Amino acid sequence: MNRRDFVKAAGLVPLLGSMPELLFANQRPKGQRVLLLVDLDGGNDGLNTLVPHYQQGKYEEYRPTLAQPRSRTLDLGSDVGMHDALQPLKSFWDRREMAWIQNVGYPKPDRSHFRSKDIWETASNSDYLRDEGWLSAVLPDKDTGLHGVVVGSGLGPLTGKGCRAVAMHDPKTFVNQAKLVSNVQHKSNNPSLTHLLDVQDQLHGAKKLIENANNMDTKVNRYFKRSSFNNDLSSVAKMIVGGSDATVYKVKLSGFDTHSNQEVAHKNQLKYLAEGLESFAKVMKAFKLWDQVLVMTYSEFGRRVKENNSRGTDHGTSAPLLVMGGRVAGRQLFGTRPDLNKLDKGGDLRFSTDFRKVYGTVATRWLGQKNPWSGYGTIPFI
Amino acid sequence: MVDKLDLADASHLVTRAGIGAEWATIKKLQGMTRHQAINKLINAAMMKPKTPSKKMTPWAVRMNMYKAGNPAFKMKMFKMTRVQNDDLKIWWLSHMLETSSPLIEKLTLFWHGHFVSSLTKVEQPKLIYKQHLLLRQHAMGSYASMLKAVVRDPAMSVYLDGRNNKKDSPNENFARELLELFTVGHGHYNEFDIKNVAKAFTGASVNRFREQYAFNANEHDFSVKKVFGKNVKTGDDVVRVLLAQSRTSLTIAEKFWNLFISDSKPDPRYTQRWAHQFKRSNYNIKILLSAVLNSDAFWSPRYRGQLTKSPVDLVVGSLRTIPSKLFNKAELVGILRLLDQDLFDPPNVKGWRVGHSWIDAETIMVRSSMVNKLTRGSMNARVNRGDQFPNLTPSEFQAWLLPNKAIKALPETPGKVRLVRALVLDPMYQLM
Repeated sequence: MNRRDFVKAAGLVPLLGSMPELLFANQRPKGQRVLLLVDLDGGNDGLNTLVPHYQQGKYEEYRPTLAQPRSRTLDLGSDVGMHDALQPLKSFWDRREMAWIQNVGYPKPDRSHFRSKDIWETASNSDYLRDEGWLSAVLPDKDTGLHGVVVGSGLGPLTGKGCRAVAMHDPKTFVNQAKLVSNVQHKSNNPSLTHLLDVQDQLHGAKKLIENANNMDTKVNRYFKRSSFNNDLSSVAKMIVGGSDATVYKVKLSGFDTHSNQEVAHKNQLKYLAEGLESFAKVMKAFKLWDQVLVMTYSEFGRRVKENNSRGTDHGTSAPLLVMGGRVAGRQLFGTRPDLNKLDKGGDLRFSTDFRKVYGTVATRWLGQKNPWSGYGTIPFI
Repeated sequence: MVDKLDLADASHLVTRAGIGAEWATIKKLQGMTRHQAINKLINAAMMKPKTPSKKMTPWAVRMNMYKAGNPAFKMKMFKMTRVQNDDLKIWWLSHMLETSSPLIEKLTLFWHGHFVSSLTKVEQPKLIYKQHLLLRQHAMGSYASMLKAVVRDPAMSVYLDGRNNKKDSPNENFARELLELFTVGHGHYNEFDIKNVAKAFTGASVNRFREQYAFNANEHDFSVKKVFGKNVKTGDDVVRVLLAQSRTSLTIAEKFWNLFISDSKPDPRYTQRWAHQFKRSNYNIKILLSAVLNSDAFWSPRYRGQLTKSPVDLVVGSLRTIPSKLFNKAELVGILRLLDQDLFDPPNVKGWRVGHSWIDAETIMVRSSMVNKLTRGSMNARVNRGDQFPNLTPSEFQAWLLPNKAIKALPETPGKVRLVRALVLDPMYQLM
């Protein structure tokens, strides 16, 4: 029994939050940076997330039943309020560990969930189809180990030949079941077979790296309330702390497609988001990793400015992104905020920051890689 | 005759135009010509499922439980819905396992992935059951009739918010998916079309108590709108306009390519022709099916083993090929869920996955576990009594169970059980 295990067994860890660094050390490659992507699936309503009190009258006109009054937002300055369901994140904002990038979108917006998600995840123009995820253009090649892990299904931004990535529901099941899959080397010109064998090969590589996450249960679980989103974040935390070498992790919080009765549904989703990220950040801090982590949300689109007749909102265009982490230039609203007096012909917001400007920033300023979207410039949020 | 089906051909046809490779059917088709065998499959009498024996609680009773104000009652109602959802999944799964006409099940499943609704969003299993009967009724009939029926299907109206689409405040969800996914496809319409299609469908509503679609004229926008340059007033007008678009038949033809031929991108030399025949036949699905199955592409060695088995092909198919009592029905429904083909519950409006995207690090593990369990342990006991497998040579076993040669070396020790297990655990078994 080593010291940490002894301390745990002896029940001497009730003060975990106050002096964690004395107790636990993480097992990561030193200084390696991590990006956690949080996919707000369904299209998050940006206007009810960062509320435009600077145009409160206009906003209430468009949102007669859904407008958030000032009394139900958290003041971020500049006459902007953050939905009060995000309360758990307010302290991160106050400590300058969190920032928003306002009104992010792309030209000729597509309002299909799938197409717009593809555009975001492949960083393509809206009229151009790409198969490769944006991270495959950023992350340097490697022959072993992992570029990324998706907790959930589908590789999304980690799709692509150059990307070594796996999707899983949780690390425990993953490791147990990986043992049953054979590992064969075989050359074939059948693309379906090639894909299958490739997945199997990566799986075996990933298994080795992820095994250690399973030893982190007792140290990490206590930080999280039980919910499926929290379980996913807790899995990510265990993998990061346990020393998986992946640079990127992705989780998804669904339920943002609020076509009807949005108020309660949206509030709940934002609450899940905030509680989950708060717990995740606490774990990272406890293991002295918060400075090595950047959390970023994204969503396929924001929602229509005018609410519909079902007390909901239809598919729209731009929306704000949230970034968090120990090195974030926090307590700032980056980018130009949306203007409700200058909607496009369809009654949607006109975006002011291209999402590729955000990706380029992550690529260069965070991951230290070349910027495939250098034409868009960068933003000093990190 | 050149095109008389040998064992591998017959197995190829049975697997792709059905679910699994049941030996009895293969033996029946072996030796026929392609044309004869295909006709036999397409024109066979289709076995109907039994009426579900488990009850589906009427909406009024559910609402009373919900409104009782007692949280325990509310929980009970949600739990009841979950149980009844699962009952419905088990009901269909059982029929897929037992039926003698799996082709119509494959197509009905395909249409559920095309005209998507889900138990999760609709929250009323009876509506999904009714939708299922509708899709089953038209699965091998007329796509045009199916589309006309789907636009007034109550489950669809709930799922895509058609019932919330009102004159003064159109809800575009249904309109968008109708164009993007059900008919002409992405890139073949503009935002103007969507807005007008939404207007044309205003006034839809659902009576959950009667389990019916209803039309509310007060909420309908009677103005004349332009869709694809044509004047329309109602939803039915829109359907007519959509059926006249050649893109609509191509959408289905391309999906049939990925259902029956290959995971690869559809070859337009084939799909254009099929689409043309399909449209000309006024969207007769049997005509399309016959064109696909009789095509060179379907029989070409090039595409054998280039279709990734869907979870239903793998799970239900394996059990139709190698019957086993090792799995109970609820467990099988659970495995399908883990493999991301939850019956009546597609993950989103785009339906279930297609092609090689079925395989990722997570699903490959569940797939391997499933076939591992199927061929482990108690199979030995039964097979050693000699009542399970036909007497075949090793190469005949391969022709039966795999679309192409096994990737891994086969066991050198003789024995049918060992050989079948090796074939089923081979990566090639995940393909067809």
